[in-house]
Amino acid sequence: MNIVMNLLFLVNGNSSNIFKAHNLNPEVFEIVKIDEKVLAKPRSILEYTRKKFESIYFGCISIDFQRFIPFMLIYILLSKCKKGGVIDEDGKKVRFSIPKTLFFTIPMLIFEFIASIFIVIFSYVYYFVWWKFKTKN
Amino acid sequence: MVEIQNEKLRIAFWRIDYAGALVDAGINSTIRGLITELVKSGHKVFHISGSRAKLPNEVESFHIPFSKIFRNFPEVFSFPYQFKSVSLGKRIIKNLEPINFIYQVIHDFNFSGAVVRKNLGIPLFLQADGIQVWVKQNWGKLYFKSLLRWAEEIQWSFADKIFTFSSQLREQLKSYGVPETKIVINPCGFNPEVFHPNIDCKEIINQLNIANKFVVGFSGTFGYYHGISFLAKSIKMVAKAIPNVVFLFVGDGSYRAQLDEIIKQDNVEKFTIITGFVPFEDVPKYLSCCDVLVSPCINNDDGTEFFNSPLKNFEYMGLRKPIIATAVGQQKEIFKHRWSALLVEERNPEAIAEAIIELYNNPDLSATIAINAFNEGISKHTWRHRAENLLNSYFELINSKI
Repeated sequence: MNIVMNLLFLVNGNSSNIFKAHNLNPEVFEIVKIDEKVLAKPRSILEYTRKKFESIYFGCISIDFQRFIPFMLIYILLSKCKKGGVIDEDGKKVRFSIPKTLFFTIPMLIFEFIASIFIVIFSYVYYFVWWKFKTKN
Repeated sequence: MVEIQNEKLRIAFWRIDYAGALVDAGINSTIRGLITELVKSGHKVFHISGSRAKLPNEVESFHIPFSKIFRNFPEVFSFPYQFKSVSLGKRIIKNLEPINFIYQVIHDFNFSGAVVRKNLGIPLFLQADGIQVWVKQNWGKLYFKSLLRWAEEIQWSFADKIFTFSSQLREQLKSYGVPETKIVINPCGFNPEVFHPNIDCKEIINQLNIANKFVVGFSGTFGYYHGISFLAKSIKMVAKAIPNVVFLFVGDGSYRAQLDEIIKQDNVEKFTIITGFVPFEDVPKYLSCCDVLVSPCINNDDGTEFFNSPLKNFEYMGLRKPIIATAVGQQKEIFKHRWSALLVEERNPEAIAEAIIELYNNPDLSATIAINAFNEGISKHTWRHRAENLLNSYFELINSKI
């Protein structure tokens, strides 16, 4: 019998704890350990996702503290299977869905980018004022 | 003076770094070590942080969460946190007053400690593990250089004392303009109740199937300067001389992929076990299974000396195990060659392999250096010593103002 495999990108944490928290069978998973920095290298991630998987998950210790979740969802969107999500050791899950990623996650990321430009400009002024005029204690 | 020193203090430990969900390793262990000793001595400790923490029950914790929106672009997420930590941190500390001093670990783009120091007048003690601009330039990516430099300089300017881990780091801080009078060297340490020679590790031996093996151990976060690739390259050489050797890597981190690659290339998988991250309380059990412990740290690529204070060195000492360390930075200051460790050349897998084989063949030498390192550790390098150093700095500061 041909078992269709699932893929787990283990960003941080322990894969057994993640599988246990979500009642998933580790035997049907291929696990790829990645560093957070690898998320900034689309080629490396997409290389893995070219293979046909039933679903793709990104695993971490805690979703509440995990950065770069929108990018993980975009990688699933760009993969062949378009199924999966982000799961953690506490049993929490961000389920992937095409409409949610297209109409919420990506627009939010664009908003974050634009707002970030303003924050950086404001920070330049604020930090400079402190550095130049307030540090002579 | 004596009367002042008997005073029980109220101390705010304030972390502004993003540790995420990680509660062990690195700065987490350092802060926990110091706090645990201060609490044991009866001082009241408050912990303010944006991440999770594993601390003694007596510690009262406050959470200043990072933004849920601004967390996807590198560095940018630090700026909203600067503003948030100033406003919330000031409010929390004001409500906790009287506070004797604030202890804050310097982190990228954040000078909230300095703002609170200026507004509330509470002494600010900083922990500087490196020059942020240097760290980003050499080990990461440097964006917004001016902002990073300004934030760091503001922090230095308002700090009453700056605690750093090593004499090498002190020199680096001085070269960036930090006044020497503010700098206090306070290396890492260990808790002798957790890392001691009588730990029962049978369960781990069975679990890893390493009974009757000669186990060479390493623990750490697999960072660049830990030099694990050189230790990994020594496996092949050691395995030829000691067929029943096993290399036990306790930890995980960004250089894990490189480690895996070397092990695969050298075809030494059967001589290697990598545990991944294990909870801090289990680390002593893993290391107790080992016959030799290694700290293969390396100097920096830009020619500067290794400036960290590896926690593992002190924990190894507490376990009374023979230690092999590279002769770099603080390692060559705390260890004496062939007396408390075997010091070997950095970036040299052959040297590491020869030292491991020598200790395997010479149990007397192994026992001698292990005992000497243990005695040295107990008498000089526990977290109690570090906490006393911190408190002495505070009392000196107060006395100088009287």
